[in-house]
Amino acid sequence: MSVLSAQFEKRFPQGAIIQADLSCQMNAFSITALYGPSGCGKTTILRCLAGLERPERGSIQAGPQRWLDAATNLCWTPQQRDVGFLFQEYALFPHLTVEQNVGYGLRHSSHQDRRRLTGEMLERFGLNGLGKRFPLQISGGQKQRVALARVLVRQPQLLLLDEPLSALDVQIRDQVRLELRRTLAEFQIPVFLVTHDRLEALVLADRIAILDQGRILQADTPDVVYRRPNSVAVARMMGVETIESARVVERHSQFITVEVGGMRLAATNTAISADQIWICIRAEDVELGSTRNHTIDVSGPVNQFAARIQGVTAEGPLFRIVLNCGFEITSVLTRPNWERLNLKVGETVNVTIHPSAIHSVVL
Amino acid sequence: MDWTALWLTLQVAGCTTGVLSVFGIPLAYWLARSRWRGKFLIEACVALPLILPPAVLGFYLLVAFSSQGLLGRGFYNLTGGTLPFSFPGIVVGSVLCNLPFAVRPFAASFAGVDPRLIEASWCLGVSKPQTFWRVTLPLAWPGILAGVVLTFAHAVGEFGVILMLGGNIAGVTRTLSISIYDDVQALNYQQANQTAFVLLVFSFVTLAALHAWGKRNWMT
Repeated sequence: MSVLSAQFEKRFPQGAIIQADLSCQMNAFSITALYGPSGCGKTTILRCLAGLERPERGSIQAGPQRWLDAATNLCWTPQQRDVGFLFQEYALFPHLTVEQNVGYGLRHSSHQDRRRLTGEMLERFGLNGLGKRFPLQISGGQKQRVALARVLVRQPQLLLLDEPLSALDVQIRDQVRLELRRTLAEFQIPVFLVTHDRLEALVLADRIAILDQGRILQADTPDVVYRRPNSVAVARMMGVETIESARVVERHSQFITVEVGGMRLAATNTAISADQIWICIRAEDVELGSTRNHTIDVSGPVNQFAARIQGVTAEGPLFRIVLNCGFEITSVLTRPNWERLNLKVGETVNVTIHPSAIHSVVL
Repeated sequence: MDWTALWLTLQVAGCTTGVLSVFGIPLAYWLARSRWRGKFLIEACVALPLILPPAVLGFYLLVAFSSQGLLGRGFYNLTGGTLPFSFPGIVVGSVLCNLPFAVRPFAASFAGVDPRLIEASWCLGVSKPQTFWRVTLPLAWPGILAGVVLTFAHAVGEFGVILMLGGNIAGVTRTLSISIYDDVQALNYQQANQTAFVLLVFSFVTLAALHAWGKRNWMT
């Protein structure tokens, strides 16, 4: 199996430095999401992979092809690299019809081949009957499919998607997100996807690279970056609700005891040797029960304590509950579960957190 | 109506527009796309005829056209002729005076083409020159056409620089504007009025047509 391996550094005259270290299998489907706030350099990384920007340092090796080698001043043009780039607003040519847009990159095919391939793509992307329309005359979702068809009809070696869903209306975004992965999976092409939408990264990607200020902080599967962030910065970006500084007071083989805001909690043991750490707790792992009947049957240590309800926010299907137990902790419950508890702000509730749900990161 | 002057005027304006299209389009494309730091100097040079009195431009051109001047000597070596008081001479003057009327709208229309469309074309494997023909030019052409029309219309009315460089030789350098001036000098107001009215109507119709067309254009 050939591999795409890219390590490079792009410097901007204003002083920003963007560093990337990425790899993926060629000739196989996989989605790597580059996730981070706007301005963190994720689009720049995509543009460097496409050959639209020239990094000052590093190299890009795509299977047998060397696309970039800053040391020997080698840098392939976008035309030579054979990548598919889906721009944020899709960048369809406004003066060409849907058909002409899709066939645009098939310069070297014969007229019949171009017609056949274009027709197949329109069919595959559900664009039948729209071939003669201009980009201004079709919807956002259709534009996205035209742009994908235009890129994929050339069977590129690598597909780069820059915020593929952000130009769509919220109503159709959920549906298109589901379709997108299914569509892309039909092509044996690795995909790099840039997004600032956490949900998009978690749903679409096989691997997520978390970026901040031009650096990749963590790159792993969605499950690992979601549940086991490697730093406070990643935890914040992945939306961990409760992040508190804590002190390790006891170490056992399976678990550690930490002190947070005057409370002692059991947490799964980690490789971290420092005594001052941060603990991360996801809201869905904070279970609430009435203080009236708590009989919990568990083996091993479990964290159970009372907390006062400080505030409740209804978020449609979920209720977000902020609690105080010496420090602030957030829980989410589905609406029926919250209603079953029948509690109000100011009342006390019984909190249960399994030690494995308390994740430690270095200070 | 001085038909010889009208024909000559159309020739001067036509040549001016032709020369400015051939050289102005590449220059405008470069101005719109270049990231060179010193670009503003070239931009200032292109815009200079907007505020420079035609008499000043005419004066320096006369100096350059003289047998000691670079342009004059070069032209003599090439063709055996001289530039002052000749048709090629007034075309050179007219080209320089009309430079901003062509290059500025051209550059603006190139700058108005979304760079992502150009990059999208590159990423689809299409070379830079091909991209220019298939994407940039088709998208910029309404602005380019507007620039061409504006240049022609403005060149028709060129006066100061032609008077400085060409004087008033019937059939060679005597354009419509010069003939109006000449008629007024000779107190032939009726003849001057005829020519002036024709130019007024021409200018108005051109601008009105340009604006009407610009409104229904899909680019706007």
